Amino acid sequence: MMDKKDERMFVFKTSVRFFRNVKDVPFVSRFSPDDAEDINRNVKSVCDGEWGEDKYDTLNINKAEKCDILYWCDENCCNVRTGGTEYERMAFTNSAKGTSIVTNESEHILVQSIKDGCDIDSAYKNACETMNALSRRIPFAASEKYGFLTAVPFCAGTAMKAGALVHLPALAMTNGLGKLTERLAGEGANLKPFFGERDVSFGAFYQITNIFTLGITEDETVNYIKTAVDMAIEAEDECRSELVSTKEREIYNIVWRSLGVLAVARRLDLKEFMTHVSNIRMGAELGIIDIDADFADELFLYGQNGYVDRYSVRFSLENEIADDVRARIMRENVAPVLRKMI
Amino acid sequence: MMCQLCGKRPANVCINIDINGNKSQRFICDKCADERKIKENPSGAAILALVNDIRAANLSRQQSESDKNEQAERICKSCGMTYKEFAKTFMLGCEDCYESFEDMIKPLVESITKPSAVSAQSEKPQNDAVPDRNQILKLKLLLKQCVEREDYENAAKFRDKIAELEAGKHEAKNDG
Repeated sequence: MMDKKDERMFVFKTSVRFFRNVKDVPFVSRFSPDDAEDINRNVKSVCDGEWGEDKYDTLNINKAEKCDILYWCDENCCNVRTGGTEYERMAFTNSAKGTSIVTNESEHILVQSIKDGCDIDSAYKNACETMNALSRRIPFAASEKYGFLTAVPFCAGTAMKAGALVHLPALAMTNGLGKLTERLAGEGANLKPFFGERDVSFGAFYQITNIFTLGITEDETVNYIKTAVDMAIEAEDECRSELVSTKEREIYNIVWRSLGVLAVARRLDLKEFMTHVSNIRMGAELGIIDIDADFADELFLYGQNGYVDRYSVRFSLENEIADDVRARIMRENVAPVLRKMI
Repeated sequence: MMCQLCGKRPANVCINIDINGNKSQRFICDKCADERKIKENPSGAAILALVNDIRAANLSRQQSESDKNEQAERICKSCGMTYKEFAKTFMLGCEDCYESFEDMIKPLVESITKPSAVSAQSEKPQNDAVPDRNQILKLKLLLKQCVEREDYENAAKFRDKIAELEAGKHEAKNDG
């Protein structure tokens, strides 16, 4: 068994999410703005009681600036709609615990706990603590037949999605993902690109989540994901060793080239950026370049749309197109590192 | 014109029928004609069976059409959500929608239910059960694809087939 540090080379983040709706209140597509307000008030009072009044951040998704919402999404690996709605949507984030609650998105309440690296047990524990506090105050919609009821019927039952964001560059390069996807499906887990359009991934970042939410317990779900993540790590590790022994020069070339592009490029779209940052992370993981995996993760966050937009606002670069600003941020961060290395 | 029997392939065989002076025609495809060996053996009994089967096929097609219309117009009494609306957004309106649209969301619910029968089988592999299991898995995949493209009619067929195979497997197990 690998230790935590080794797993960190493959697993970027792990998360556990719970979706809940309030009993006897219509789901989000049918409820009234007053219902939404009630939900926000209740959730806020639970946060005050459980986390302490000044221990968490509140983001009003309807009123906040688009760049702040996008940045919040990038930090929390979560998607929320940026357009305004007639009912109030909020995000309560406790950064110390890595737990956040989003209200009135597709379901009344989404509780998410996220951890760096491969630490699904702590993510599950933190999410459960918050869930228990909420359930003491708010009655949830549930039925005997379908478990917890969700507006999107794809996650009724446990209404829980456990997942890991994994980095699989060697498998992606050698077309080994199809086989892995099949094997994971046998374990009840789904593998799909984390960034990308349809099945084309930007960079080799993939998400593993559970398929089943009915006829399964929460503990079983966690175990399923653990097994699936172990399988992915094992397959990727094997593939990396083989790749390094057979195509060492090609791999060195890819990694150094990507580092060069990020250090000097004048325009970078998200797709190109993701490909290069994925290559750099692979270089760091394989020990080809002497940088920390944490540095690669920071770059990863700095290149996302939310951070780029925020940077533009902060330094009054709104006139420049986002891809130019992204390239500027990368130059500032990567060029000094590269200069030291060559 | 499509085959009056299967309704799937273009019709290219014309069958002239004369029942007590009542002349009529039926149109079927090559495959259906071959299956019934109607070209080699156009006996009265075979033709009569064909006419009856076409009538039955027509009836069931009408039935499924009316079922579809009935489904599309179904409304949840608690929140006023219509099935049409749900099919567009894939979001239910309230807790009672689960009951109101129970038969429509059944394939969806099945796709997220852990298939205990299959996993129990995989723990104790039996040589004679292996082809069966592969077939079930394949059918489940097809079912999932159907659900994804909202083709509930075919999804229901696959679902029934899976249930049939799984029931057969249990029987075989009990016999053994």
